[in-house]
Amino acid sequence: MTSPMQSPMQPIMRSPLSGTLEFRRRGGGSFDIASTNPSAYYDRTNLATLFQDSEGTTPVTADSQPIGLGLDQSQGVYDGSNGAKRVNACSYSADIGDSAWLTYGAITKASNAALAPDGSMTACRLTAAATTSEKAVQNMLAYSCSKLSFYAKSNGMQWIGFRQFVYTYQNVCFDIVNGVLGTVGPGFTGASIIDVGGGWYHCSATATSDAISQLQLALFGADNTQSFLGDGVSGAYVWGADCRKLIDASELPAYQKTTATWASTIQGAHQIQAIASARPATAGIPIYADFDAVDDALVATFPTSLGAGCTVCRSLPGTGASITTGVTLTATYTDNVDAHALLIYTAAQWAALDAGQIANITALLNAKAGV
Amino acid sequence: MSFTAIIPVAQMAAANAFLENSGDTPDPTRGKWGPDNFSVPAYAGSAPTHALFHSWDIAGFRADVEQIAGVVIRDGNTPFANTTAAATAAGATWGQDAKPLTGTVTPGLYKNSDGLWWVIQGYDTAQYPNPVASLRRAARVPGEALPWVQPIDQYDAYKLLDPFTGKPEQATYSGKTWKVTQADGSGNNVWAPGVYGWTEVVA
Repeated sequence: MTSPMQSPMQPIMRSPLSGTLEFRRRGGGSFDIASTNPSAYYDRTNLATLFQDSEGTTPVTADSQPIGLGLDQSQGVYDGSNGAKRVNACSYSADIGDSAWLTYGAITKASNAALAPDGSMTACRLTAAATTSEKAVQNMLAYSCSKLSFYAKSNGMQWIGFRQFVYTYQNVCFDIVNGVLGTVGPGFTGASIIDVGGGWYHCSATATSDAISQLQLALFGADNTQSFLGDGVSGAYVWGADCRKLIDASELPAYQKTTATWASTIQGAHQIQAIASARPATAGIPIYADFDAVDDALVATFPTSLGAGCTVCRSLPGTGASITTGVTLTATYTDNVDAHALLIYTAAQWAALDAGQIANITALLNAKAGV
Repeated sequence: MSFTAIIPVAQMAAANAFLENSGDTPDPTRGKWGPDNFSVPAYAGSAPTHALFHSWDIAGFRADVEQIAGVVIRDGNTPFANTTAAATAAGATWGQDAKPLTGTVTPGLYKNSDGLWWVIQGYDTAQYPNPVASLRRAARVPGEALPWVQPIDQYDAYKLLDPFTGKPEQATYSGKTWKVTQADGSGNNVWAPGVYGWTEVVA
């Protein structure tokens, strides 16, 4: 029997590419690739990490589908049940004070004004200005939705809610002083308000179809009173807006944080291709990324240049592990080589690995290729 | 089925804008396919004359590409061969298909260790290793600053706006790198750097 610490691998061929050694290994179990501390790890055999668009909206579910986004798993493996799929169409969901949220009517907003339900100082304060008009903030959704929710806490005002264009200004109103539901517009099939402690309420409503393309959170002077005179001081705190399609209504987590895009909330140097024609496609069994050798490429951006002496490890279709050392990489890595998986190490990261870890990496890459 | 699409370079910017479908009033009946889908140059002269791309099967994408005026689509599941064929059918040569610049050459696209060449008139490369510009000239690669060559006509004139990069074309001349900053009404510059319409690029 071979011990995992005894190197079971041996070089079987030298690649025509300079500095490339290829290894094969029989057997070999899985191990935690994160323990080898790579700069990036992309695994196309794990479909939960692949999306057909660069925004992470449409998952890859089979072969012959485009890859617009490949999640970097170097800091954790995503299995599809821990938020890998984007379900929240809002941008800047936790920072309603961000400029992505437009103001509508006589209302002001201030970021990081109070403790949010998650304990972070990220709640946004909405204040009704001393002018008679409607008072709302608006977020253009990445795609149309039906299940709307947000967290609210009173700051002197009693009523807040959704103000939606799709159903001709139909509203859903919540009493955030007494924790009761107010008006529910006819375009909605249900709504709820739940006390989550600390004066915060989780307010939600579900529309009849995935037709809502923009979310408006509005202060109301009374139940369903859109236009009113504010006092310039009172309002409410809001946080954690989440809008999703009906099919995603029960997906976990119940609230998904987003910033500019969803993917940016998951740590890592994700591979992205915003241009449709430049996206590779999934192919083969096991699945690999099939680049067309014409214009396909996936691009990853690292915080800083990776420098000289990097090591690039691939799981090549029909071949298995291919390890190329001595590569100089900048902060942008453009990938256009067919592979089941791709690992990138800086010189320091690779030098820190022992023979057993390299053997495990080789075995993993061979296993990904099914050889 | 995957496909290759090709379009004359003059229509490249409009075609890419159509597919990007962004801005304040995007067309909700079409997809948003990102910028610069047409990005691969093909040559029927020393400057790119066509832009192309290859795409795998993406739901809705091909139907939107079909709406572009002047586009030619070729279906096929072998990307490289299909792209070669699409360029050839348009009377152009995909840069990847440039032939080695050796032996007796005929008009067309060639390559050697110095880059791409457009052969204007057939000749024997052994007999004329460094022929005059009327026989061959360096083919321009979008985004690369190559030695300036006197343009013959509008087809190889230097462009104030390179449709492939969205920036002025550049060239090297007299030990300096220059970019086009002025041109005729069609956006073409046929003058030498330092004579008219060029500004030195300072790093």
